[in-house]
Amino acid sequence: MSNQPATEDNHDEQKSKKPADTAFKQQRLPAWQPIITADTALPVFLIIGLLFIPIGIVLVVTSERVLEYDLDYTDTNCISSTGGNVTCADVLRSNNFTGASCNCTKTITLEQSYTGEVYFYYGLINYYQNHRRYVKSRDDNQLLGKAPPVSADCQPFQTSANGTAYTPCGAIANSKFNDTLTLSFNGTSVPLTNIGIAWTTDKAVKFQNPANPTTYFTNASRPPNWQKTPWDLDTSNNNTNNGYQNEDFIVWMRTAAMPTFRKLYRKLNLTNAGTFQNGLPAGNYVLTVQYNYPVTSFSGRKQFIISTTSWMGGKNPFLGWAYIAVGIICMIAFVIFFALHKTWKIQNRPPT
Amino acid sequence: MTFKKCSIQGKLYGYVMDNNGNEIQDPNKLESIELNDQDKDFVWYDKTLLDDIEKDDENVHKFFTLLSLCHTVMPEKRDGKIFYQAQSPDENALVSAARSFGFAFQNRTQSSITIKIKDKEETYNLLNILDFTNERQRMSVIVEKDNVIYLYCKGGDTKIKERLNDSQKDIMKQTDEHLNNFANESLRTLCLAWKQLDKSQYDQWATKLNTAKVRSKLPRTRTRTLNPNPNPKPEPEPVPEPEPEPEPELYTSMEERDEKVAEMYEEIEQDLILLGATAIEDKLQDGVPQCIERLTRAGIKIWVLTGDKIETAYNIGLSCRLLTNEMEIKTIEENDEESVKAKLEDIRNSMIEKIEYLFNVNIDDRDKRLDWNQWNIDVLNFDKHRKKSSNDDIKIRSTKSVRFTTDDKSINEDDDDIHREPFEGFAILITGQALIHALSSDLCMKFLELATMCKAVICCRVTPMQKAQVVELVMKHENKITLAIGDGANDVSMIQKAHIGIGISGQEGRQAVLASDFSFGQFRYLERLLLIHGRLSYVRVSKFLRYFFYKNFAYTFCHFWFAFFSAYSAQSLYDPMFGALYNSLFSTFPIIILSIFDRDVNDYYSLNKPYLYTPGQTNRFFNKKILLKSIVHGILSSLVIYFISYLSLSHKTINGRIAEIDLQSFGFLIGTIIIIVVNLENALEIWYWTSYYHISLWLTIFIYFIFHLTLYSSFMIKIFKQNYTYVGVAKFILLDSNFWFILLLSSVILLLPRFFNEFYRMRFNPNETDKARLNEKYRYEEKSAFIQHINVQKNILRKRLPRSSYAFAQQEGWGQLITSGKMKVQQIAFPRTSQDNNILLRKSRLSHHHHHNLTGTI
Repeated sequence: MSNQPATEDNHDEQKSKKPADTAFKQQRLPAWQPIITADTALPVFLIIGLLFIPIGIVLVVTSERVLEYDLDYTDTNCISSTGGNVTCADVLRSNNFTGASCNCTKTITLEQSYTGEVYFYYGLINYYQNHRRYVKSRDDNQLLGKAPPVSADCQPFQTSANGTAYTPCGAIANSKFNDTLTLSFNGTSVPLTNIGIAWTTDKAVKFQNPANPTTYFTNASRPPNWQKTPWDLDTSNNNTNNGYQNEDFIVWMRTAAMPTFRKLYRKLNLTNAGTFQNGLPAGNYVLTVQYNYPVTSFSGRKQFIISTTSWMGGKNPFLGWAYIAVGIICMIAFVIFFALHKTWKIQNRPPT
Repeated sequence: MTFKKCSIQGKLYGYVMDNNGNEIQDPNKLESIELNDQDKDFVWYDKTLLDDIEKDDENVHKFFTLLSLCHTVMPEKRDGKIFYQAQSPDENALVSAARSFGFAFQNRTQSSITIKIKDKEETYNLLNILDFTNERQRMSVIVEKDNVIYLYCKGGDTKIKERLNDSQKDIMKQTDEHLNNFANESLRTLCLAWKQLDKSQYDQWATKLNTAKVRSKLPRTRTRTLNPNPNPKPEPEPVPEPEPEPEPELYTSMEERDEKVAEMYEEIEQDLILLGATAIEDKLQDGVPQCIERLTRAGIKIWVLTGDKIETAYNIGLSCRLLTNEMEIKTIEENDEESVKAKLEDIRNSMIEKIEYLFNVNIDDRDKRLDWNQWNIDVLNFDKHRKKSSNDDIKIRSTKSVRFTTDDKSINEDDDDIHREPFEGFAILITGQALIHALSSDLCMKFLELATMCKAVICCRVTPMQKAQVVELVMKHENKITLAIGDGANDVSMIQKAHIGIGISGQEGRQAVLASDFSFGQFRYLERLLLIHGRLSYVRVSKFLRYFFYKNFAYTFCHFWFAFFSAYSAQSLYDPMFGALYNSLFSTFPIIILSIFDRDVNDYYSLNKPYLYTPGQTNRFFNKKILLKSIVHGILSSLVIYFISYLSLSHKTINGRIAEIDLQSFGFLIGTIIIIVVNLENALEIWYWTSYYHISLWLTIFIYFIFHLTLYSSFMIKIFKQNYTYVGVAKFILLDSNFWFILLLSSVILLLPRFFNEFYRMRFNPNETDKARLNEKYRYEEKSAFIQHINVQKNILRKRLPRSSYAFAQQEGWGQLITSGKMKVQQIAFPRTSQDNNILLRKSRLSHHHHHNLTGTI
């Protein structure tokens, strides 16, 4: 109010410690002082109820329309094709996990045709990709194509016995999923693509090959568990999908949040005319697994998943039901408290 | 402080009587008498005194001579005028008054005092000053003029009384009556006495005194600066220096020396002749009664610790509404331990009887400590708990139907209360003498028990030490917060002892201010300090604490839940950058602004609804239960946020259908939901949305998004040439519909119950604060008062009662305002039945305005 510049006369006043008489200092700021009354609360309940129930229904329907086929091929669903009725898991174990491979086939029956885009995932259960030491064990700068030395975070997969850095280094890279899964329908193999399965930013920004990748990767030491060098990961798309930029590798390097997770393996290639132009028709399929990846030693499970998707992603009706539940609770609350509000005497108000 | 009245040799001065012999009290009807050298605020009406001075009445002469001689005032000449510098305002008032009556104190040296009586200078040789101490409660001077030695003494009435010559009994009786009159008018009194000393008698005494002092001259006490008396004490007239004591009897301490000296003083101050008594008005500061009344209604127990006489204290208590006539006032004046003990027991028994008589309370175990809480009686509202006779019941039923439900307690008063014996609680008056025993270890708990049962406790004639002891007693045994407020040097010890010390800066020097935690100019600011600033501070700090626990538990426990999913490997769910900035940037500004600006009701309501202060005393806004609640609230929030996200996203690929959520995205998603929920939760907490709050709230959320979009953008890689695991995460999540659905769901699940709770409380179960807020916003009270007024008016018209409506108006009529043209007839505000006239008076201007608004709605 009297916050005017000091004149000579009130010079003395200026020296006093009295705070200035401003709205801010005297706490007289204009303010909105809302009080949550029945008039504001009840409509909120009604609106949330009316909004959430339809949203929930849409979400549930969307989720229900997603088709999904899961196959756990960890052990009994994958009997070694070399005979002897042993599971591939046992074959790997009996070879002490020294890189022996095992093949198996399994017939899958799709009851419905999977139209549109079809996605193939591998799923891992009881696999802690979010373990602290595991998550840490990587060198992002190496993946940008930078020259060694690599970060000590990669320990114990930092450098090989001969002293050169592992490319790529770290436990995550070393444990890359390396089963090969192929699908055939009536003898013709289902056309799958491994391009466009990783995040676009990852492929474009985070993962870059070093200069002269062919020589670089040939000379460098590959991680101990890898059967191929990074440059041989995808033999069909030499330059674009190899080395650090291999999409299977990129997908693997984005560690999962939960110990049960799935990662995109292949997409159905819709570009070729023919049987699979509109998706997967219903019927019997044969899944051929080149079983390299041991999980039984830590009670892990492996899954092969075929799924269509929706605008909301994969199949999970939880969100929809949660919306419906909250909507219903709001409606009930609205009805009860509307009735109470109308019947109860209003406190502290004068009679009218 | 002004000199008001006096009694000289049994004759009263200062009263002006009308023809019927009644005192005229209205200053407008009196004519003040012009005096020389008058102080600004000193007015004198009684002409008889001046006449007696004119007549050279010996007693009057001596009376004023004493006043101009017996003091420790220092004169200071400025611009040819003399100003007095006194230790206490009382002395200043007395010396100034003496000057006004023509007995001007002029100058003093170490050994002389010059006074000017009716333009004639007289110089007295000053032989001794027997200074004032709190124990002695009196001071004397020994002066010599024309070879006659006089002792002049002034002091508290009891102390003087003890020292009078036996011949003074009659005159003392008369003066006593006058003293009581003065005390009843809340005036401070002093008695004056004198005697003449023989030269030989004096010499003998002076020698002894000197010996007493000399003995004290231990090496370390020799220097004069160690003299305990603050005033420079002039050495006595050169008396032959006594021979050094043959046996060097040395005092072991200063106290012992003081004792000896005091004994000597005692010896000479005997056989005095009474001159009279003075009465000084110690004006209550503005707004003290109102302030005290509000603080009492705020549930604050007020103890008055004063050096005044018991009657003065009693009257001051009445005038500041600390005591009312409806209170049971107990007085403890006993002087020895046994009788104090008996008296305390007596009071206790009568209290028990009274309580059993008034309330539905049976006190079976009489030895158990008395406590209102144990019978669930609200000390602020005794009437609510009073026994009701069957007769009363009927009355209540009939009145209830027309009574209005308003929250203001003052309006709540039932009609039937009129028919009951009024009771407003107990009060205790205790003297310093009795307090010595009451504070002893045997009786202190008994005394405290009774004192805590009382609405007001007044301790009179207490020493500074006792003030501190009383504060300590309460602090030690009551576990309550104590606040001491005072203006004088004698309040310093208690100000320092209490939890909160407040000094009033004023006439009595700066000692109290320097010793205090807070200081201000007037007592009445205490109500603003406590009822507005203190209360708001408590409300804000409580919200602040609750919110901090809540938000940190919400944040931390998401981490905790994640541990179950990450093999307990202590993997962090969040980006370390988010962890670092959560408490410093992303959830801080709204709560800071809330803690600065939030308020429930404005100053006006804070002051006029003092009961809003009580939650602080009972820790209602922040206690163990509420702490636990906010912790549980935080944990539940984290539970909802974490598991809604987890259940919605598990076994499901999102965004472009290519991936199930990864660790970094999941962390960002949880973090974002926490930020939004926690900040909106704060928005539900605040009651006072200033523009600063809007800015801080929306900016915090905005900054969160901008910060992460920037940090996680691919530009950062290009600029810093460093890879970052989180690159692309923000864009990935924000473009995904799942995130937005989860966010909406979590926010509704977490905020709606809070919102609902607020609504439910406001609508169905409002507490006092809520009611005050509703009242402030919708002005229920004013409307109800208005409607009540209209109803009353209607009834009057219908019944054609022969009474005028003035019977319902508790204010003065408007006649004067109307005739003066200040107010038009149509604008007369409706008279209201609100009990609080102060509110009415303050709001009378406002109510014109309301009047117009309200008529529209009816």
